[in-house]
Amino acid sequence: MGKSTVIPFGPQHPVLPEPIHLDLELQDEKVVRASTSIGYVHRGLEKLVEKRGFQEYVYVAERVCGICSFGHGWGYSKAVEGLMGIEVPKRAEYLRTIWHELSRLHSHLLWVGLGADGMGFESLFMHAWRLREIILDIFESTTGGRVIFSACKVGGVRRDIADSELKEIVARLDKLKKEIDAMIYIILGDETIHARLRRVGVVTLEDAIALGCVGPTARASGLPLDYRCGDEGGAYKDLGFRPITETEGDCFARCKVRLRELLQSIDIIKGCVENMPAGDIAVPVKGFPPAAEHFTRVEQPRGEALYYVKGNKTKNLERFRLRTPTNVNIPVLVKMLQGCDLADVPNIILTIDPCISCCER
Amino acid sequence: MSYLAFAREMIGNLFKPPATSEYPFTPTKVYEADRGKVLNDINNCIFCGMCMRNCPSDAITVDRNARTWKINRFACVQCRECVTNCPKKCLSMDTEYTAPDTKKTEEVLQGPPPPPKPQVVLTEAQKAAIAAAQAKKAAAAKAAAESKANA
Ligand code: SF4
Ligand code: SF4
Repeated sequence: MGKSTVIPFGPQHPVLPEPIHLDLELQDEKVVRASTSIGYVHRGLEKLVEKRGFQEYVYVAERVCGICSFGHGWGYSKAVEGLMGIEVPKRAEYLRTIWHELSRLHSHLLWVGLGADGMGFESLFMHAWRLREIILDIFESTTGGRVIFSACKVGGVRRDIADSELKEIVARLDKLKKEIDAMIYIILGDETIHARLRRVGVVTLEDAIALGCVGPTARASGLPLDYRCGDEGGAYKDLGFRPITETEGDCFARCKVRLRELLQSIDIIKGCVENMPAGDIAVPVKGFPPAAEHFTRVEQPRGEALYYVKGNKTKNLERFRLRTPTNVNIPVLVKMLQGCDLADVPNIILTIDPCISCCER
Repeated sequence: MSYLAFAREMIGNLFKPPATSEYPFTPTKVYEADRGKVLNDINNCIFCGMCMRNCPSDAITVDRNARTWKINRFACVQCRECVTNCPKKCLSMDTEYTAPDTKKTEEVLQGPPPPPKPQVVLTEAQKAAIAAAQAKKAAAAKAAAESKANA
């Protein structure tokens, strides 16, 4: 056993899409200890709630993350709606569910690409991102934006999707589903991917519970933690949602959970389209948020995000707090890195699907 | 399980047209819903300032007295909030984006001068009626003041 060496990893690193810094303490090729530091992209978006009106802030909330932008807009709106006691029309809830699940599809496809890129599987990376383009086109035709949608507002949604357009979306998703099926067959059957991901970065169920991880990371260890079966709102209750879990807890299981969720999201969207209720898409919002607090959650593609708002009877909220899924997945990441090979570090980091700019707001 | 499971897809891709387009030589796909840039039909604008008050990024400045409408296109986040809130519906969203620039310039639109106030020409009889009504009103006010003072 040689003496330990500390090597810095990130914040700028070819495999990392996001700025996180790790100090890896190595003995030979094995990582014995890892410590993380973040703070490279802090933007102070929570503070901005004091400067922007509570209805305007939804545009800021969306900009917390470029991938779960719809989810953050929804989470913020849901928190303010809870604070002010606003009942959102059913059709708006269904439309929100459709956009949220489309976000999950594009987030997971993006992840497949990044994960493949981290392993050096460049052609799969290109392929996954080409499929993702279909989702971005659906976003553009229904909301007018590809990344920032500005579709959600306090009290409902800002745009309706016509029934003919909904049918067209389903047809496009059916086509996409065939391609995703073929892609899943490739990923699950490829020897190289098995060699890189199986039995790497294992999190046991006990660790998952003790370290409090969320999202696909928790579900891959057999912890059925998915807020979509809680009181998420949207159409999940009506559609009878069941979370997807795997039991191995390794990188491959996390990959499998995300791949299966791709197909599940397509089914949820189809369910929404079939049961789409008619009616209004928004209710008018009158007055200012009362001097009270409210707290809510949304299941983002990376896991559960928490939203807290506090009003003070003025146009601006007093406090907005957001805890994103990556925040709680960092302790488990440190645990996974202990004892792994240096060459597996990129794969392990990528399989928790870190979103650091979300995490720092 | 197999090696080269992706090879079929890759070889197939060799014979397919490219998935990307050669922008700017081929124009991009445009959807009706696209949010490009804000346009103002300044002749219909009443300079009420609703767009300015609702803009989350403070990109619009409206000057009622000078009758100017100013937009900083590089601060605008294309949220469409101003278009939704304009009472005269003179704002619209173009599907074209703002062209990049080396300076953050502002675009100022100058509205036409306000329409002249309509000149009302009164006949002698109307003038007399107005004078009588005013006199009556003044007398009533005086009577009310007196009764208040006596009380
Ligand atoms: S809201 Fe419309 S009418 Fe009012 S100032 Fe703005 S552009 Fe003009
Ligand atoms: S689109 Fe949004 S950001 Fe741009 S000027 Fe209108 S309100 Fe302001």
